[in-house]
Amino acid sequence: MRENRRDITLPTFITLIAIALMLMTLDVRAQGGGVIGTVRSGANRLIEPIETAAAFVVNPLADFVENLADLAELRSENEALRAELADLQAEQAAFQDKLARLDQLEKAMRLELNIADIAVTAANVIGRTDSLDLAFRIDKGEESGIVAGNPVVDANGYLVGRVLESGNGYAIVIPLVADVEAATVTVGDQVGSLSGVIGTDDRLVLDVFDQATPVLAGQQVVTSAQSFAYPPSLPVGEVTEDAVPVGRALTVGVRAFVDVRSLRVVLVLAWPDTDAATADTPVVTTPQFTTTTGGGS
Amino acid sequence: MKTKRALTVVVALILAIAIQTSVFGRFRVGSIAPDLVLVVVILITLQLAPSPALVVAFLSGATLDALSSDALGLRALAYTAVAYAALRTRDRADAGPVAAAVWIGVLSLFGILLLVVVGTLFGQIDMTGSQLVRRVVVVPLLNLTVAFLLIPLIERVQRPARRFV
Repeated sequence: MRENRRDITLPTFITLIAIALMLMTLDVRAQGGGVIGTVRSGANRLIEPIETAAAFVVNPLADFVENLADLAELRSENEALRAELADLQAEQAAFQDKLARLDQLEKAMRLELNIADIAVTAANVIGRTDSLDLAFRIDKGEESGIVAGNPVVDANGYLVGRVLESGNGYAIVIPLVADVEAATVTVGDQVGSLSGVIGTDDRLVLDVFDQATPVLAGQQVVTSAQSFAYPPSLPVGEVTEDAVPVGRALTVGVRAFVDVRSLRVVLVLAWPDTDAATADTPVVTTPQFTTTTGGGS
Repeated sequence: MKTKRALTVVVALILAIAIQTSVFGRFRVGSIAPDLVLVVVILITLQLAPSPALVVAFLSGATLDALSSDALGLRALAYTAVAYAALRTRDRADAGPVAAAVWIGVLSLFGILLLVVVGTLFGQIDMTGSQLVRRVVVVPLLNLTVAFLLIPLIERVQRPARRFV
């Protein structure tokens, strides 16, 4: 009786491969929405409590191991940091004078600088899929007011990326270095488009398409006031090498400030600020974070 | 007996996914972690009948896809292909734990390469990325190591239905 049974391994294999290809096509075409989005959301909800529990156990242990490994380096690092602090304090004193001048000039020119308080939700990184995917999951989602598109920064205020998807109790964050959508940024007085080099952890490419001027290695790249996706002036990275325009365009590498793989806590910004967007007068907004620990933001 | 085996497979996979996404999210070798779920999927092909093993591989990959930012179906496809290759070559695992670990390492390399190629075709991964090459090489090596550590454990736990001897 058993011998008459047909081997259905190959048909099963072909069927599953066909289903996988169909799912991929649907997901890419629907851009994460529709039925595929519901399936994704369901899987995340299912795994989120297990991940949170695992992170609760693993994180203290990982911290202990990391601290133990770092102990030897701490003394020399402390001395170096003290020296750096002294330099920065001197530099800060010089900046105070410039800020006072800027304040006076703004008053003289009647430039109103409205500083919006951007609500911030702090969240723990609870999961990463595998070594090929830089996206990660955090333990706060819709219930904390986090929605798809919200910018994400690290504890130092450096730009990490944006929320790709948000559900109850979780959100998936796609770092800028792995994002297919470019960010509008400023380097010096030039506005350009910054996109990730997929397959790397911290490399980005800056393109300035019109009236480009040379840039120098070490120049800071920050989000532009022309960006719809991110608040202005968020530090993103620094130019890796001196570069001159070819024709009117400039292309140069940028190293991201944030090491995405080592992130444990991130801040999600409630952006865009709807109040600022509906204001009658043009508004210049500068991020000034107000951290919430959960609930609404 | 079948229910017990199915339950064991489900628990093993959920544990593997939880460990991979949380524990290996923190403990990495040069920012690269082993693909534990892929190792477990390959080991499951030694325990289940061919068709259920393929379905389990597909569902495991699909679950990981749902947790990632990549298109749903990418890992499902790669894991199913790896499971099929494992089913066709599973006699290699009979030569002993070291041979079984090497076999898992080779299958992992096949899986990662497939993931990169299909991912690139669907615009999810860029196979020209410099650090990608390092990952394609290191992940199978880490998988081989994990498998080498896991196999004796499984040998102790499992019934004598199939052993790596």
